[in-house]
Amino acid sequence: MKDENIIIAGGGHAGIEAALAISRMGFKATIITLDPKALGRMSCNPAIGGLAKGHLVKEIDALGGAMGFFADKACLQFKTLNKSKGRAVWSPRAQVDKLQYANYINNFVKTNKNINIIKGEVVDFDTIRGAVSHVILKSKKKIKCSALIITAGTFLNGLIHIGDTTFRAGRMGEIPSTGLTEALSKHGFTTGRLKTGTPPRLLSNSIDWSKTEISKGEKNPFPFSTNTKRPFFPRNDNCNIVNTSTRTHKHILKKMHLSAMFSGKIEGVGPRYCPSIEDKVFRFSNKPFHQLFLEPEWVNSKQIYLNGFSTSLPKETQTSALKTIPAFKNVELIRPGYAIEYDYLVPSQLKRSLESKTVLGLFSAGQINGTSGYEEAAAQGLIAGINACKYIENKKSFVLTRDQAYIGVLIDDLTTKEINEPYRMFTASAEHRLLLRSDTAVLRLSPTAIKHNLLTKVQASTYEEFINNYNNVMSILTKNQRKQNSIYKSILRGDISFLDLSNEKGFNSIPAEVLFSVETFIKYKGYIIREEERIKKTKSLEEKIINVNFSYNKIYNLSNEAREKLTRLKPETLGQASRIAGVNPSDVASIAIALSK
Amino acid sequence: MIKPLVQDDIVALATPPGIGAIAVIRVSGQNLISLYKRITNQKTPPQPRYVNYNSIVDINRNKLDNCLITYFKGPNSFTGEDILEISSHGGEFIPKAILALLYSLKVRQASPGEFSYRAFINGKIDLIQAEAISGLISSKTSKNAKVQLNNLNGDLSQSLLNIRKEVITLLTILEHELDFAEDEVSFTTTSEIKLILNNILYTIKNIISSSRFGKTINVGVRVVLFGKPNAGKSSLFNRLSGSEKAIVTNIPGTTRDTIETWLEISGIPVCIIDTAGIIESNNEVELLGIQKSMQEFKNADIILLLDEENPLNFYKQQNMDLLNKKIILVHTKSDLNLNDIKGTNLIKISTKTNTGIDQLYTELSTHLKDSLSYNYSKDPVVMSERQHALILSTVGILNEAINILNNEPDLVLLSSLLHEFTEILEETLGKISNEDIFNNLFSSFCIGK
Repeated sequence: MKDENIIIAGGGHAGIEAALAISRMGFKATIITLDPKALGRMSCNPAIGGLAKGHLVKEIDALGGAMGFFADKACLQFKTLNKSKGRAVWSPRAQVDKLQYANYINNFVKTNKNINIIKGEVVDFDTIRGAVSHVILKSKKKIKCSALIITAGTFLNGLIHIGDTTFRAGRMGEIPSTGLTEALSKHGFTTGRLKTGTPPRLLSNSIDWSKTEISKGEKNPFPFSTNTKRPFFPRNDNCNIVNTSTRTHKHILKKMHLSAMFSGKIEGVGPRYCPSIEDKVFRFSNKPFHQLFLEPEWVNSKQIYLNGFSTSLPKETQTSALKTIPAFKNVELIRPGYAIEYDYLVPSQLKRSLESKTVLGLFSAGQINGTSGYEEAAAQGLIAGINACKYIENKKSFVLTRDQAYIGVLIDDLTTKEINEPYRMFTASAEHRLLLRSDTAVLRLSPTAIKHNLLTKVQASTYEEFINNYNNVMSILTKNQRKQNSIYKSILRGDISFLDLSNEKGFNSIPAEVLFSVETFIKYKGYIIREEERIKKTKSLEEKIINVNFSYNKIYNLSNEAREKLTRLKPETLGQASRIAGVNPSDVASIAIALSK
Repeated sequence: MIKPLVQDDIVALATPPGIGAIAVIRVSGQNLISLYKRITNQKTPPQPRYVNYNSIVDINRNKLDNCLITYFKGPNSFTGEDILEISSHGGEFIPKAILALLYSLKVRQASPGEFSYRAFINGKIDLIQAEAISGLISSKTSKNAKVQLNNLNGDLSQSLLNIRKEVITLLTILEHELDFAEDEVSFTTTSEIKLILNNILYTIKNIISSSRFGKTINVGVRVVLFGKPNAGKSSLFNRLSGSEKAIVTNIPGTTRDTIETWLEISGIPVCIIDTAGIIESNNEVELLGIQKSMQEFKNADIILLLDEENPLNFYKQQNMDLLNKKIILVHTKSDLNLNDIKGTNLIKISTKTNTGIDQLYTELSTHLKDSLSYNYSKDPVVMSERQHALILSTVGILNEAINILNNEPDLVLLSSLLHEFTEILEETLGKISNEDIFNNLFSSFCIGK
């Protein structure tokens, strides 16, 4: 059975995590990519993590994934975002050396005996009795496979826009992939079109750095990965910030008609939360300035990523708009910002295992499913990889629920919602944010990961050690909880923090992160219990399975809209059904009753 | 038992059984056209929302009655299904015969509340409206009926929906604040949030304070006549009820069992309860009666303490000042002038000469109105225990949320509480949803990457 071959079409963040997960589970994976040199390339911003995305990276790590570990290694600057707010939304973020990161990934993947890499382009697949059997390459070559994971990113019929210039590309300087969308349509899948963008890259020497504000890294951050060696001392290079001004905004407004997005040339829908600069200026005209972040792309990089200035204006306009900012008086662009349109697979056609609801053994993960961001892609790749193995083993699929992980929220949203803009992870998407804190990722997920054999031996023992430490400290503290002046009470009152805890007898060898988690739990306990109560309330709804072949026609009292959507989206559980927009409480009640018969 | 998803046709007599000029029989089902044709022997289908004058014929095509039949075509009907409303002649026989005919045509007798249930499950009404319907049907007074009607129109639902909308707007701001870095947006201040929450708390408390009223007019007020044997309780009972329900003699201890009757005073249903007199006794039957009296005393909302000598003495003897009860002292048999006692809190009555009865009514009505200070015609009224319990639980949540803002504001905790709050409101309305917050999230803000 271990000779079974799982093919992964694409070598981006989703493809990499899928291949590595398959390898850890003892199966063989073949990555087919247009450019084997571009494996694990960070195509947009030089950063990993951030709000809610940092949570995803921690969860990927707790499930054995690679992203967090290599982001720690290639880190230029580390920061915990949102520290002024509640701990549940503290999110780690790393400025990452893109070259180093891709190098680490390349070496790691290429030295893996279970992973094979082929240069080529998957354009179609064959099925036997409803299950994937072969992939077909552009060269007409057929390769046998037991499962196929499509991780084609933004490459499907990719189209780049810069002002009125348009050309076909997967990413800047890389050829797009054509034919697979058509093949998917032929196999009965619905696809759509989305748009995303990237800001210009500036020449470092052309910037007047004295006119920028400095933004420093954090002194003693907790790294993403539990496997990263402690103590963790990232380089913490400086980043820089500038502000736009009303002059900049006026300039952009005047040239607005030249933007590909505003001239109506782009049909794909872009994300509202990552708007282009022209979008921001237009929609929020009362804001006097917008912040722009100058981020180095690698150590001593001459190329600066201008975070916050995503645009599809013509190159000359981008330059002239930037020149209104003092630090950019003489700015030179290494390459302009651009918008890219691409095909995506409507993800409600997938189960929560990321397997297609109609074709057995066909999985898809990453940006092709309508998401945006490295972290969202990696998380899906990991889950698709695990479930491709489960599929081959003929075992129950590995599904994370909404109260278990952000990954669970992400995939549940993708498979039940109608995505019409690139999906990005937000903490607001999670109903149980207090439980899904980034500091609890290992506690929440590693036990399941160990049970499902998703980890290497080294990983498993590292995580077990973390969990054991946590449980020990917690039991010592709760045992003496009621005593006068107990540590537990002091924590509750806020008299001592996790930093003081390590000075307590018996705790000096306990890692600070464990103590941090313990402190946070004690502080939040009352609220955590409330959330657990809320979970219990809807648990029955969440656990009620609806068969894929369930016929909604036999429930006569469903509204037409509900019936149409339920039939199309085929929710896997009653909980999912209740989250579909247009499905009313009375509809849910009707389905519940029909299921209980 | 309601059969939840069975598509069968159901029927019920909508008017009370017994003598009456007409009876209304209501049928609900998926498709009632063929049923209509069958029972009326008609070839053409009925026109929706028109009154049709038809004869109803039995299994052997013999005429049973001439009826008015109104056909409502689903989903434009109360239940969302087809409905036939048959107005037949009243009495014992005809409605029964029509029902029997319908049963023989596989129309099932509806379970209690099944019509409302179908209306709810078909999305025609929300849970509060469904509850209002059951309240409306069992309304004992005009005031109750009016409030139930307000709820059926969605007054309470609308108030809750308005609050929910406010909280969701607040959550949208909070979520936004939590999910985007500090740099891009100017955020709401703690005091602004506190102001909003305090306003919501005020509204909720208003709704809750209305719930007492809700209970009063729904369940009614229990007024218990209490006192020693032969104090004139049964006489007063008969006087108030305008009947001779209670046996009145000169023999102390005539009343052995409690008797009750319903009155409407100031639009509020009042249950007057006559009890056995309180006395030291060895008689087993009498003891049982006294036990019952004590039970009624406990459950009473208002107690009329009757005594022919001095109710105040009895009041003191029994340490009634220690009880948290509304007690009206009534000096009975004032015509006999047995004991001319003075006291401001005392009402002197005589059922024989009919004196003091009006004053007693006025006193009762003042007490009742006190419990009704709520203006039902303008504000929503909480009616059911379920609604009351759920809405009451939101007060604790709001207080806790305000408490968080007073200490070190942790917006994640605040958001968690507000999510719980909206879930409870939705549960009150019978809803399950959490999408709205998210749909609002992006619409009105400038957001950085």
